[in-house]
Amino acid sequence: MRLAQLGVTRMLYRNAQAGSLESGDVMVRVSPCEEDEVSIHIESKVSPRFSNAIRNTVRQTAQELGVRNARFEIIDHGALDFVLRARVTTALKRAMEAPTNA
Amino acid sequence: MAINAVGREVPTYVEGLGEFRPYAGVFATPPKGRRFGPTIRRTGGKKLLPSLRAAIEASGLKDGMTISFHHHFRNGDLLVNRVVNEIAAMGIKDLTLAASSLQSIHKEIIPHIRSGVITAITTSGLRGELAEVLSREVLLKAPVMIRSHGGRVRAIESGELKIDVAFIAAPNADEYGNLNGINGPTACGSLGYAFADAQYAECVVAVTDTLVPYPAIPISIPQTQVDYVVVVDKVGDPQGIMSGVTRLTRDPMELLIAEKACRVIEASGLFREGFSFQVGAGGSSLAVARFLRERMAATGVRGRFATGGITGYIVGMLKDRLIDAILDTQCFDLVAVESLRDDPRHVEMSASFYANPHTKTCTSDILDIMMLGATEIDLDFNVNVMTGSDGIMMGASGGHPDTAAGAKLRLVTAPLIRGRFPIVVDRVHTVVTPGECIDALVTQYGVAVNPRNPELKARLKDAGIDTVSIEELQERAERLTGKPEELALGDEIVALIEYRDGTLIDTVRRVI
Repeated sequence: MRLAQLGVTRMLYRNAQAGSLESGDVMVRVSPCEEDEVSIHIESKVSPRFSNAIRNTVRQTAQELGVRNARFEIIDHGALDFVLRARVTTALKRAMEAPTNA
Repeated sequence: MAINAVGREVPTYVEGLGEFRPYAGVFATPPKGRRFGPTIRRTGGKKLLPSLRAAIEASGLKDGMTISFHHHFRNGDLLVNRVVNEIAAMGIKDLTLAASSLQSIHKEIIPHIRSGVITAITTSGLRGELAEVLSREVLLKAPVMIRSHGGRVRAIESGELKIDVAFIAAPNADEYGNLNGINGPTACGSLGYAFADAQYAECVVAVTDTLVPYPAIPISIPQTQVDYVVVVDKVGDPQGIMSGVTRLTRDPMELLIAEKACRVIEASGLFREGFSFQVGAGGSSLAVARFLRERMAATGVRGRFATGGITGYIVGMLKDRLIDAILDTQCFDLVAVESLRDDPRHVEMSASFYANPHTKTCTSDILDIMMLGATEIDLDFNVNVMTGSDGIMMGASGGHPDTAAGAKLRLVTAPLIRGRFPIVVDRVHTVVTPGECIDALVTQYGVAVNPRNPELKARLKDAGIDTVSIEELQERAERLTGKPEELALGDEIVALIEYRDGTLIDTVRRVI
């Protein structure tokens, strides 16, 4: 059962990243933001033809994990959709880890 | 505007360039008229001038004229930038730059385009920053004319492209203008693309860094065509051609594609004693030569000749007597340069001899097997090698449409996906070579035979090679990549794609 379907909202505690700058991969950087919104900045050579696809995948993946407030920086080198999804998921999970000691 | 035979809308008149006929089919538009002849001139005995500026002055270059260059140094070319800088310093404006091709090193001319020194360009290729600027902004008085190697020489010989001053980068020359590309510290090999410039330009300036005693032998371009000779420190950087020896790819996907292509060749019926072929210098195309070579050794079938841009790998096949001759318009590495110099079976060939559709016979019409590349190919098998998937110019027409028109087996090799872009698309962004000229597409996911060639399909079936439809390949690619979104384009035409016969096959619109 997806968290979002249970109406759960997950908090991001820290900045996190996943992925790499290799060709075919994507670097996803995510940080918590105050406002209740998901903002996405995309840097990609394929963005003239795939920016909507990238945006939708990031938004959808965040939603599925119950994340409503996050700022994404996507540095893409032609990653296929499943790669992007995996990188966004990992970055979000890392960002959700509660701080060990303040 | 008119709709041409590949369904593209092309202009019938362009301000500054004149009238055009739409592309009507591969050999549908026959030649007409007479060959152009430059003014008869006698330069006499005093040709050696002290500087490039002195030569430009002596040439009589004025506002509005056309200057030409050849691209044998590829990205190691030093002459275009140098001459254009000099011309700009002299205050001459409004010139047409007629280069056989332009590379990323030529971004240095961008300021001279902005300032109106260069106001029109015709070339086979555009790359790097120069290509990007010309794709995004309307800076020239007329769209860039993209011509194939055969199309360029056709335009020169017919007088459509009149050259006022041709600059020839000569790795060695004598003071009367005899020159060749195979001797001297900056030897670049064949000068095939410069022959027409030397023969048809009103004035020819040979620029060399190695002046030798008369006569410079062997003579590629003769004293009878050259007006002035200038000595500079360096005409080009041979390392820019491609360093030393071209290496074969070790990319397993490219090797897989090449191996499949080789199986198609063997099954096609054209792999037989005395066959001829051309492969490119890069990726899977050159790797096809490796697999061909293995099959030649295994079966005892020998080839007769290879053509085109030549690499050390093809030279190796000549040395091992797997082929008897090489016809060379351009050396792609220094092994090829050495071979052209030392081996009489390796022959320099002009662009007209190679690919001019309006000459009595060109070599591309005799070729058996041609390996072609593609940035995109569509469901009609039309091929784009000029613009990237972002609509920006990044490639060259080159010999692609020429060899595809003439050769008996025309195979496109390409990975099914490049970056995130599917190679098979509904409609290519830019048609350079019509699908009528393509027999099959070979990808790592399978071979799609053009329905126009049922005989090839039957032969592959008999040989046990599975084929797929090009639609299936597209679907397979899009399952992985998703369907690309539409590009945002302006109304302005930034380049015209001329087919080799002088008709218009497509246009390139400004990228927003």
